[in-house]
Amino acid sequence: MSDQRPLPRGDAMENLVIAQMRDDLRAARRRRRFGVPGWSILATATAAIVAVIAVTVSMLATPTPSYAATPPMLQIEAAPAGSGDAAQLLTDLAEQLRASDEPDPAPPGQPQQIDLQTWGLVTTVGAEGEKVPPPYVAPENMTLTRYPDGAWSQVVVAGTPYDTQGKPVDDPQATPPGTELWRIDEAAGEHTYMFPDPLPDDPDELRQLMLDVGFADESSPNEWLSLTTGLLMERVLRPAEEAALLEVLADLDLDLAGTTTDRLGREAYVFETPPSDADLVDRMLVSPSGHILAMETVWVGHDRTDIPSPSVVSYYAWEGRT
Amino acid sequence: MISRKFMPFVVLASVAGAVALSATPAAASTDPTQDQVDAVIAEFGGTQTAANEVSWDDGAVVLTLAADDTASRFSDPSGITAFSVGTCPSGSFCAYSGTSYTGSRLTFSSCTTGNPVAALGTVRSLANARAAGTVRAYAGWSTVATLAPSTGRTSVSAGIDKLNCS
Repeated sequence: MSDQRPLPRGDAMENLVIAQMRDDLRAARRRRRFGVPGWSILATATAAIVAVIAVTVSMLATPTPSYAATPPMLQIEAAPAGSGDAAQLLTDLAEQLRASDEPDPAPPGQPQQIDLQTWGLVTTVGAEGEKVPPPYVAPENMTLTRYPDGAWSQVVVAGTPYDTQGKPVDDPQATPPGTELWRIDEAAGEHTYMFPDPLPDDPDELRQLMLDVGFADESSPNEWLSLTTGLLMERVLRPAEEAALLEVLADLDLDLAGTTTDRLGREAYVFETPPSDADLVDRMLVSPSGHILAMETVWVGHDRTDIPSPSVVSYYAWEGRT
Repeated sequence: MISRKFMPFVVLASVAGAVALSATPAAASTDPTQDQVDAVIAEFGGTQTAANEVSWDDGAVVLTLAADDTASRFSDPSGITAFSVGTCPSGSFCAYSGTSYTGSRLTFSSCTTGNPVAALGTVRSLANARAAGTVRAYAGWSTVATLAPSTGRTSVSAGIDKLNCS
């Protein structure tokens, strides 16, 4: 015996619908006659409260992103027409620098002093309890001095803190600007230089010298810019040396991102590394006269919770090289 | 009502909290540990029972000020964390994306094995700001650098992918 009932035909279906409508109409009349029962109000109120609590708990359970403070992103505009690609522009800037009659900023036998502003994101691993980063960016001003006998000095003082929009922060808890944070003084022979001697003016020789420091031929553009940063923190370059450096960098697979005003208010071309597995883009800022003004690293990944993407994770801005 | 059984822990927690909050002593001193002991006794009473120790209830509650914590938190009246190597906090070891302890910094506050440094992209300098134990930097299976306690390397070659400590 089958438990399936025959499907209603057309007229039977119509009767079923009409009957259902009548039932609904009668039920509505009963509700109007007797009003809304108390249990219904209670149930509705309870449901509403539960809903509010659920929403509240949901809001509380979903943590509001608490990001570490990072510097504002550079505002980059398209490069002027005719700038060419990165390689061509770097080559042009190198030629311009070679042709200039700029004097040697650090004559032989004189101490070389390098002043720069730096900042780097600090990430602590394995700490007990949560460490709340300061809600502002605390840059440091660094003075590096290389003496003719090889002695070395590195003095770091607190800079002026600013917020994520770049506006100065007046926080009494912040270290007063100008406060010495740390220093290293090394006598002659104590400091290990990556580049102990003056650089060659020839780009091919300079490229080999940089490779000899500890690079492999297949090193990424990011590592070349990283080593360039290290070089510019060790030596004050003559115009011909800096031109050779630009020509070495012209052979990397850099992109011309455009032009910008750097963190110290200077106009600059922006060259950057192509996307890589490291999710980091390194940027080099070069003045229209061909001097490297700044370097910075931008994180562009999507798997970190401490900073938004993209975020600047470090920068160096050279203020003076004498 | 907190039972008397747990009272010492409450007192300790309060003292510990006060210690953590009082990171800006009024004046620099030649003995920051003693300054801290004095500050605790002034605030909470108790008896100094050692150079870095305060006791209550005949020793039922004892507060010991750790030497490292004392140095890092209280030695500087401005509240600046004490650094023993570059910007690397005392008791930690650090990897930097830039030479001379600059750039992005990864700070490892406990000694575990195989600490990856991929977040930096590349490692350019290292610091071991611990009072004891070495730090080794590896590029694959090769040891690139070995750092004794309280030492650093202002520049290291590319390729470092993890740090180990002992």
